[in-house]
Amino acid sequence: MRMRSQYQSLCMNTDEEMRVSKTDEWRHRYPVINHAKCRRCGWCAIYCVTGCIKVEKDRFVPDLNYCKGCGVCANECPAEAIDLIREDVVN
Amino acid sequence: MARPDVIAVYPITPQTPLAELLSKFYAQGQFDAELIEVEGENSSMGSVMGASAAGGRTFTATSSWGLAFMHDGLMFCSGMRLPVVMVNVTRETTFMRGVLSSRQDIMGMRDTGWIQIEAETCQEILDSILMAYRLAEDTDILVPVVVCYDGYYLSHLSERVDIPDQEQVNEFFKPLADMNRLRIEPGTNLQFAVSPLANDGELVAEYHYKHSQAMERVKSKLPDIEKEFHAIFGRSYGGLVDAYRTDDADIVFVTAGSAAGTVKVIVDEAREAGVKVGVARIRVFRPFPKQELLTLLQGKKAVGFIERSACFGWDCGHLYMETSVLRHQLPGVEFVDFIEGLGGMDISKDRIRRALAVLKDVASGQKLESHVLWAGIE
Amino acid sequence: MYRDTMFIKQGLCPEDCHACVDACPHKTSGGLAAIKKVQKDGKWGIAMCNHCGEPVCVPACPTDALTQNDNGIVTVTQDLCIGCGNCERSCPYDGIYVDDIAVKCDYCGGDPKCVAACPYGVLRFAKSKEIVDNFVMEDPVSPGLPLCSGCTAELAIRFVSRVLGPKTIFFGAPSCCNLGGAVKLPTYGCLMTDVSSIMSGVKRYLNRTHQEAHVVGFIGDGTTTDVGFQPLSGATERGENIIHICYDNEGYMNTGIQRSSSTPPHAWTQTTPIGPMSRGKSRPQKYVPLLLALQGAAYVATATLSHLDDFAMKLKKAKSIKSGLSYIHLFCPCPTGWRSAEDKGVEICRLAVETNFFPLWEMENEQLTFTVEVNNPRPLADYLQLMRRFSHFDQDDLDVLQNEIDRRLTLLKRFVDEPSRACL
Repeated sequence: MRMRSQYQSLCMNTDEEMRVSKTDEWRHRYPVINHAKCRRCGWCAIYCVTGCIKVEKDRFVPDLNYCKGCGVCANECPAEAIDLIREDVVN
Repeated sequence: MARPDVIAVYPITPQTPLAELLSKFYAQGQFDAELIEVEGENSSMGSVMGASAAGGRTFTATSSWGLAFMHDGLMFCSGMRLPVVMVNVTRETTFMRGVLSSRQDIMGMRDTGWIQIEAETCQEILDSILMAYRLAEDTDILVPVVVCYDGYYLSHLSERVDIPDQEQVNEFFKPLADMNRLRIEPGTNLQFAVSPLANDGELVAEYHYKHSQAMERVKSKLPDIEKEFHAIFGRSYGGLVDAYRTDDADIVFVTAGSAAGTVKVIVDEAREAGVKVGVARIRVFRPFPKQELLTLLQGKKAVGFIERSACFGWDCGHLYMETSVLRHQLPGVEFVDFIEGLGGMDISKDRIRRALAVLKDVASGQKLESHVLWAGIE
Repeated sequence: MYRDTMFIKQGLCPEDCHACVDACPHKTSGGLAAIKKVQKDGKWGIAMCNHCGEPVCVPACPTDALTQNDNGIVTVTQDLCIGCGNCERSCPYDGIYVDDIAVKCDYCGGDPKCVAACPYGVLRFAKSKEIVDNFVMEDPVSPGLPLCSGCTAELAIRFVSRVLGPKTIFFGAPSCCNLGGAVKLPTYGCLMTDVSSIMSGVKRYLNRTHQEAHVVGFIGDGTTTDVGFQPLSGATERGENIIHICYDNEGYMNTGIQRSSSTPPHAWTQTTPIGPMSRGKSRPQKYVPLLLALQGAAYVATATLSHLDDFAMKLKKAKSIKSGLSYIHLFCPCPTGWRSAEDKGVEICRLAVETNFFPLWEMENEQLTFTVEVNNPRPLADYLQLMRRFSHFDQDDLDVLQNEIDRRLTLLKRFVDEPSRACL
C-alpha cells in the first residue's frame, strides 16, 4: 500500500514546504506609489497587512505577486502618495 | 519509578487518593517531576499532551466524568500519536452523583483510539503501568495507553504489592531521548497537528490506517514486552488475554477486571467437583483480542460473559457484544451474557455459581428464553 | 528610509486657532511661520512642506539654494536664495513660499514645536524607525496568507513574530489565524478547549529541559473569552509562564461572524441580527484583560495596531516575564465581520483608542497605568460610522454603548488611583 505522507499524523515541516497562496489573484485594484511625493517614511511598509511592501534601493515598492489590493497603505500614507488603480481583469 | 517529566493531577472519586499521594511524594521530594495541579480534567489531558508533544514522559489519572470532560483531548492525543500513559479508575457514568464502580466510563472511550489495559489486581496495576510506557513509547506503536482498574474494588481495598527496585525499572525502560519521534521544540519548523491538507480525505484515511495498524502491532509487541518483564521482575500476565484453565474446558467465563479473581475461585471450586470450566480475562480491551478469543473459545459448549457495563442500543453487555463478532467462526458455541456489576454491584461467589448453573444447563442443550441476563432485574 | 514624518488630520482645526503657527520657530524668531492654516471644502486644515522623497522644489531652484540632506529634509541656504519664487510655484503642497527669501518647514531639526502646541491632536510626529528597530527577525510568515484582504490580524501576526523573534513556538486554535504550515517557526494547532493547557504542558517541559523558547498563543476572542476561558484562567492562576495574545475581532469570524462574549452590546452579528425583537447583541462585552489582571496575571496589557510603538513595548515586556502568565488583548478590526472598508483597519483602531472605546493600559507589579493618554476623546459616532455592523444604531443604542464605555473607563481609572486593590 502506497503511503503519501512520511508522517504518522497531521504534521508538516515548513523547512521542507510552506503554504503560499496566490493572493495576487484576489485583488481588484493595485497600489501605485508616486516616488516623488513619497516621503520615504515607510509607514506603508509597516502597515502593509501582507508585508509585501519592501525597500528596493531607495524606494518602497509593493510586491504585486502577493498584494491583495486592500488599500491600507494608501489610507495610511501621510503624503497621499499612493493611488489605487483598478485592475483591468478582476478574477 | 517510571520517572515521568510532567504529571497533571485533579481530584475525582475514586481516583483522588492517587492525586493526593502523587502530590505528597512530590512535596516530600520523593520524585522529581513537574506537577501541574490543573483546574479540570480537560486541562489534565491538555497539559500532558503539550508536555508529551515537547518530548516528555507524562502521566495523569481520572475517572468517569473526568474522562468524559477530556474526551476531545483523548481523540486529539491519540490522533497525534502521543505516548501518554493515563490511569482510569472505572466508575459509573449514568448519574452525576453516583460514584459506584463499573466499566461504563471506559466503554465510552472505545473509539478514541487509545490502547486499553484492564488490571485484575493491584500488582497488575503497577506492572501494567510500567508495561504501558514501553508500549506507548515503542516507535512502531506511539499510541497512548490507559490502564484501567475497578473503582473501589481495586482503588480502595488493600492488597500486598511487590514494589520493584529502581534499577530493575531502569533496566526495563528505554531511554526517552533515544525515541525516534517528532517533538515540538524551538529551532525546528515542525507544524504539529497542522497542515493545509487536513481536509484531504485520502490523507486523513492514511493517518487513520497508520494509527489502526499501530494498535494492531500491540498484539505482537506485548508478548515480547511481557517476556522481558518476566525476566526482570518475575511476573507476567499472559498477554492480551489471561486464560485460566481454559484449554480443556467445556464452559468458559469471559470477563475483565477484578471480577476475574472471584470467577477464578469458583472455577477452582467447580473443577474440584469435576466441572470442566475456565475463565478468560480480557486484559487488553483495545486493540480487541479477536484472534486470541477465537482460538480460546473454539469448540467450547458455552461461554458466559460477566459484565460490569451494558451497551446502550445493543441491549447487552459490551464484552458479549464485541465478542459476538466472532460468532460465525464459533459454530455450536452458546453465548450467555450476565450483566452483573452495574452500579458497583458486588459480583459475589454466589452470583458466579448461579451463572455457572445457567451455563451448565445451556451446555447440555437447554434453551434459554433470553441470552442476556440482567442481575437485580430478575 | 524609514524617515520621521508628520501626520496631519486635515479638516479638524477650529477656524480661530493658530497655535501651531504661533509656535513655529520661523515665526518666533521674527519671520513668518513655515506652517499655515488653509481652508478646503469649508473646513480648516494645515499646509506645510511634504518633505517629498524626490522634491520638485530642489531642481526648480535656479541658484541651488535648496538642498536635501540624508534625512530627506530640504533646507534653504539663505545666501544663495534670490527670492524668485520658482520653488513656491513648483510645490504641489503649498509647503514653501517666499517672504523675502524662501521659507519652509525643516521639522525643527527633529522635534517639531507645532505638535505639542496643538490642543486638538491634529499634528502627530511619528518615528517609523523606532518601530522597525523592534524587529529581531525577517517576516517568517508566508507571503501569501489566505486571510481576508485588509485583515488586521494578519498585520498583527507578522508584527508579533518579528518582535518576539525566532525562539518562539506559536500555538493556535481553530480560528481565522491558523498559522500552521504558513510560518517558518514551530506551531502547534490545538483545540479551543485545550490551547492554554497544552501551552502550559509544553512550557513546563521546556523549562525542565532548559530549552529557551517563548510559548505564545495567538488566539481569537472566541476561544479566549468563551470556550477556552476556563483553562486560560487556570493557567493564569497557576502562574504558567506562557504568553497569551488574544486578537479580539469581537466575534467568531472564521465560522462566519457569530457573536462571542467579546462582541460589543447592540452590535450586529449573524447570531445577533437586527429585527423587531433584537437590537443586536443584548449582553455587555466580557472584558477579559481586567479579569485576568484581577486574577494576578504577571503582566496584562491592551494594545492595538494604530499604536505600534505601544504594542511593541508591551510585546517586549511580555517576552521578558520569566514567571507567571503574560496576557495581551489586541484590538483587531475585521472588515469582513464588521462590515467596514478593507483599507480602514488601522484607522478603526486609531478611532477606537481616541473615542475611549478601547483604552490602552498595562498592569505589571499589580499597578495599572494607562500607556496612551486620550485628552480630547473623539465622539463615539465617528468610530461607529466606519462599520456597518452599527448602521442600525439610533440614539438609544448610542447611549447604551457610550454608557458602557464611560463606566469601564471610570473603573479602570479607579485601579490607577488605588493600586493595592488592583490584584488579589
